[in-house]
Amino acid sequence: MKRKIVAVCACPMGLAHTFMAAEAIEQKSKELGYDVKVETQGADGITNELSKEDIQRADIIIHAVSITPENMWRFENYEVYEVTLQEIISNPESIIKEIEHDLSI
Amino acid sequence: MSIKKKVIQSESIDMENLEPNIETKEKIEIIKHVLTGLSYMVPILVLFSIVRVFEQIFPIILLGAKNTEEVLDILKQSDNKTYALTIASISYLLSQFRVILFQSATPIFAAFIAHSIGGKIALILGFVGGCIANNPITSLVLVDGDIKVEELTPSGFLGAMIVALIIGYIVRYLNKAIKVERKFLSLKAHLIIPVIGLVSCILLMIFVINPIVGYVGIHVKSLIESTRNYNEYIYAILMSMATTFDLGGPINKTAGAVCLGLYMDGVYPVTARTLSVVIPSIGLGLSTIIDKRLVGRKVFDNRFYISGKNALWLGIMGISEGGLPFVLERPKFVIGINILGSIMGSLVAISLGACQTFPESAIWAWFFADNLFAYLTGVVSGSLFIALVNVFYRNRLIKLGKLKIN
Repeated sequence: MKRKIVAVCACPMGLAHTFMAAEAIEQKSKELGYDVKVETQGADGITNELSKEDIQRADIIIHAVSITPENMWRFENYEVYEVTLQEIISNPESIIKEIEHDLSI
Repeated sequence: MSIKKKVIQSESIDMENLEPNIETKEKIEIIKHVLTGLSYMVPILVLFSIVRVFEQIFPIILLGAKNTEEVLDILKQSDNKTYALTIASISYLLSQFRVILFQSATPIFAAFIAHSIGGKIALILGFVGGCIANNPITSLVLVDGDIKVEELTPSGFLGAMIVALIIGYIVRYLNKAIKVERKFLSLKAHLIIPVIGLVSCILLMIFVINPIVGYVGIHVKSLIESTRNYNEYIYAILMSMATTFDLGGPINKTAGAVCLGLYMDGVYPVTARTLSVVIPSIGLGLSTIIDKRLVGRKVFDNRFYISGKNALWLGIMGISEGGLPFVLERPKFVIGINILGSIMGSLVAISLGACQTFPESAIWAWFFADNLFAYLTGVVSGSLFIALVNVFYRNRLIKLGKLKIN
């Protein structure tokens, strides 16, 4: 079974960075052979919402945020990797690689 | 690179930074909480501005009044009293909505900062703090044996931010420190923490934050007002620099918070900020369109012609990040011309009399600026400057063989 990445992206205005980060994560994860689902909390509300099952099944959970996202309770007792939006946009590959290294997968 | 590993719990515990950067960590956390509050406040401010525009437009366009104060005279002289009265009362109604919206902005801002730190209980305590910061609280004092009502200085936006941060951390700490059995949880969550929080919030506001921040605020404000013309330009230059320095990065966002704060406390309009958000992206986008006509050849790699159109569109829609691809390719030079261009645009617009009191940068908000012509001149001059300098500079680099394009 393919490994899975889930992510939440959120920025203050919810207009640009949120979606740029989501795109970067989606693209790079697919390239690296992951299943991927990215939730965006932008100006248009929450789209592509992560369910309990998504989070449970995920091997890697990424929060690419510069604000505190909504519905944080879903992630209770999970290990989450929090990164800045700028870094995930400009360099998604090395971030994912570093997380893989940390989890030794 | 900073990747932070956390286990999310009711109070989340940072496990480790993969690359530890402990000094800046708490600072970044605070900025994150403030930005969270800001993200909830901005929709209110936008709505506030829209209501204000309609409140003024209705009587001015439909009744021909020069300003809202003239409406009463027109109403008295009007032949069609019912019509005039309807328009006037709509405007009157809207003005009350506007006041309510404006008064709720600061409390909501404070509420969500506190919520971001301390969760549910902190939300309402932050709200209270924001209300006290925003509205002058009166208290009773004894003067020569007479009881008098004394008004305490409100501390405004900044005071709200400070109290919300403190209250948030207090609630977070209390939640961790007070351990009770589950059956007593309601006692803790509904009585102990709210009461301690509320008391400390009110005491803090009345005895510390309102006096200090309010005092400083009033003096800064009167200093600014006494030298207004001169300072307005300095403010515009600083705001333009900070806004364009990293196109949507932390410095930009911090500048945005400062700008909104000064705007809400009625110190400065948002003109320089809104102009500086759009000018770089429009200018950089424009340079990919005019280069062939100007110097007769392409001066960018092919991929930039797509990102250029994208940047132009994003700029027009008030999103500063459109210019990022250009910045990443040649950071120092592009940031330099971005800063110069937006300073120039802001100064041109402001000196021609543009004043933007609508906290939104997109094209549809331009029409709400006082003196649209001056505002447009600012946008055009700033972005043309960026486009021209960018094209000529790159053309020269190509001629000198220092730059190759494909």
